[in-house]
Amino acid sequence: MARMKFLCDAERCIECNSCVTACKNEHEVPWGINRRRVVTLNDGKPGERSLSVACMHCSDAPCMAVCPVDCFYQTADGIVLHDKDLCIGCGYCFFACPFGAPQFPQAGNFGSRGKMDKCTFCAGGPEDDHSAEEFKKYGRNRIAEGKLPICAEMCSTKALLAGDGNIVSNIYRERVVGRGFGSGAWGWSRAYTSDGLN
Amino acid sequence: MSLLQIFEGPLFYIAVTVFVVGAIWRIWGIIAIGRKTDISPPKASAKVGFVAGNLRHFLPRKIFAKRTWVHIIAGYSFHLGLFVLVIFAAPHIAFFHDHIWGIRWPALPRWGFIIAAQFAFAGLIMLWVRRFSDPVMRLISDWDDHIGSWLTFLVMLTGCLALQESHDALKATHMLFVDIWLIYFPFSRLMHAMTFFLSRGYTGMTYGRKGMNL
Amino acid sequence: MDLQKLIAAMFLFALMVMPLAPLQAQSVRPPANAVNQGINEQIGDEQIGTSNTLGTNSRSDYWRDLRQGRDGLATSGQTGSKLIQAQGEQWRNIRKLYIIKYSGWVLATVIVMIALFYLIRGRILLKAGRSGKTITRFSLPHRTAHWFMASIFILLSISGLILLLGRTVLVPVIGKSTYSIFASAAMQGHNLFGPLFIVALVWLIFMFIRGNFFKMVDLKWILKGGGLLGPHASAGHYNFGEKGWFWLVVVAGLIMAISGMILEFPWLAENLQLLQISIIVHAIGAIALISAALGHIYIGTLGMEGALDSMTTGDVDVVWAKEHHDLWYEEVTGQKVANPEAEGDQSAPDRAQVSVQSQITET
Repeated sequence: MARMKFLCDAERCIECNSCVTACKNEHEVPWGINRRRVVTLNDGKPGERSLSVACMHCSDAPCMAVCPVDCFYQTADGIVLHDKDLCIGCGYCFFACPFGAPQFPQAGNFGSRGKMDKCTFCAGGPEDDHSAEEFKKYGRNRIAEGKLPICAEMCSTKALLAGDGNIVSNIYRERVVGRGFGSGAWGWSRAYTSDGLN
Repeated sequence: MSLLQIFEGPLFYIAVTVFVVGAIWRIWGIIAIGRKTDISPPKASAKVGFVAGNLRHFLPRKIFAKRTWVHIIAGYSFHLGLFVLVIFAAPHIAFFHDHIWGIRWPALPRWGFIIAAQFAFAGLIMLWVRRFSDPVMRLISDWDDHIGSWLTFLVMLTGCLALQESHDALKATHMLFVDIWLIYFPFSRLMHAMTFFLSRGYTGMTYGRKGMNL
Repeated sequence: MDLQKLIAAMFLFALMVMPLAPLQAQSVRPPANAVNQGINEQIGDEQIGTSNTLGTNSRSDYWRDLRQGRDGLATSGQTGSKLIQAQGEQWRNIRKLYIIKYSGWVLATVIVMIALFYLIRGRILLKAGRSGKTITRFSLPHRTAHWFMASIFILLSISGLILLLGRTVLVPVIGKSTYSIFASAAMQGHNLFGPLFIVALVWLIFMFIRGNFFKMVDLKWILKGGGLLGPHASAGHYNFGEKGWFWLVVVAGLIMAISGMILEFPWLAENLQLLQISIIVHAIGAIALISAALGHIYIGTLGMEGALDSMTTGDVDVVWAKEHHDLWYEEVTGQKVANPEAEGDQSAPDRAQVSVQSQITET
């Protein structure tokens, strides 16, 4: 089975935030939450680069390891999903996540963070595929529709790639070879184990 | 029908009926006893005494204040905290709206409601601790006092545990204790919440009529 | 009051300090298998100074910095500008490999030790039996402060342990969805009662600090092993064990209060690393306090005849006072304890002053 991965090509990302917007629109993400974010490095200086970051769906996911209620699970495609019915809003996944992926609806006084929300690789949650309940909690399940994540699909420069890790890395490798330089498969070393398959 | 639906549906309405009818019956019983007719000429107004008696007892006597300040503070902290959280907590307002009278009023923010609950908990725990650690209080407390304290504590605790408002099981537990509390109320000293003004007023009227300075 | 608590306290203090070492020593995890590194190194340095269109920053150092937590500029999202926070991995390891793993064992060990102590030493009985005469040890405000703290401490301990050890201990037994209900309840309860712990702590410190400073007699008490196994060790109103417990509560309690407030109001910190450290410190402090509290509860109830009276009625039997707190008894009553084992305290206060107020009451 394919191992799903995200890859953002820093040499192509133009910081347009379309991925953020597309994601928010597709999943009707609540006010105040962005499942994806764009970070710019060396802003306004020569060598400025931008990266679009969301949950990387890590192999040995730290969020899964630290969650006190064990609400995370990983699909056969390697997508890390969580069960909002179990989530108690403690914020531990956010403390552990290297990519700052987990988002919370509220500030957190007296433990009022609310249920965690994060990128699902457009794969919904534990509820029945395409159910209203699933859409309300996790957004659209595009994977079940046979589609890939909307953020990558909408990316105007095709900086953001999503899909089978082998195909994604082949595309990226061809690009690097073609243009003669690259900034690496950003975040992969942290997110995925060395064989790149899991 | 789920347990939650029973506890906040039929059982809740039964509990409220017992609560209201029982309380009216108890108050009516007290009023029906009436007062012995006092044939002496009144030196001052008994009605003023009723009001004065009620108001005067909100404050401790100066000579006792030093000895009683802990439970005075605890008492106020508990009762005021409880009223605020019962009346102004957003989930309670929503419940009153949906299940009782269909009207809403502004709610406290979540943190305000929690701070009120903290005052209530601190007061209740202190009052209960005093009940068993003060020799006099222990002597005059019976099972009714302890059940009343514990039931109120459990209602508050289960409510506090359900604060995430995410699990029906927790809400159902809270509602179950609310129902038990409501049914227990008229037949116990919890009735003091409705009769305290009568006893204070009774003393106030007696003293007021005699022209005593309260 | 006992050696048990002292040992537990010292042991746990050591435990509190130990796991902090790797936190500081451990450097950020080096990139193990960076896919990008190979690519970058090929093109790496040749790019510098050649053409700006290719960028001057496509170097492995630059991207390595980023992996280790260098800041960028966030143009969207609530999580800020940090691309990778590298400490999350350390935090996860400390929590999983040390805190959760050992806290359960520490608590189990403490319970086993107390059970063993009970089996070997048995209940510490009053040698002379109860006399029926009592002497006032704790006033009502003292008792109220104590039980107020005790109530809140128990609520916080139970809810805290459910959250800390639930996934390891409870989930295999009751399943995820049932445990989630417990965890939700525990977290909300913990967050509501947390600030009350601070109120209780301040009140407790205020009420009990008098008489809890260390004196020379405590050194003798330590040398005699608290009289727990050997001959009686003299003690004033509080013995060294009780003083140790008091100061553990003060120090660990304040640490719990500060770390707890940071976790309760994350905007106070605005710093993820501070939150991560707070969770670790909070858990270590909790295990220290709970372990010591178990010893305290044991010796105060089952472990020693007559000890519980001091916190229920506030009046202890004079025999208890003579056998466990002889110097205090002498101080209060002005009468010498006829105990051949007890050493007279040279620095005892002027007996003439206190002998007037004999507080012994018949019951």
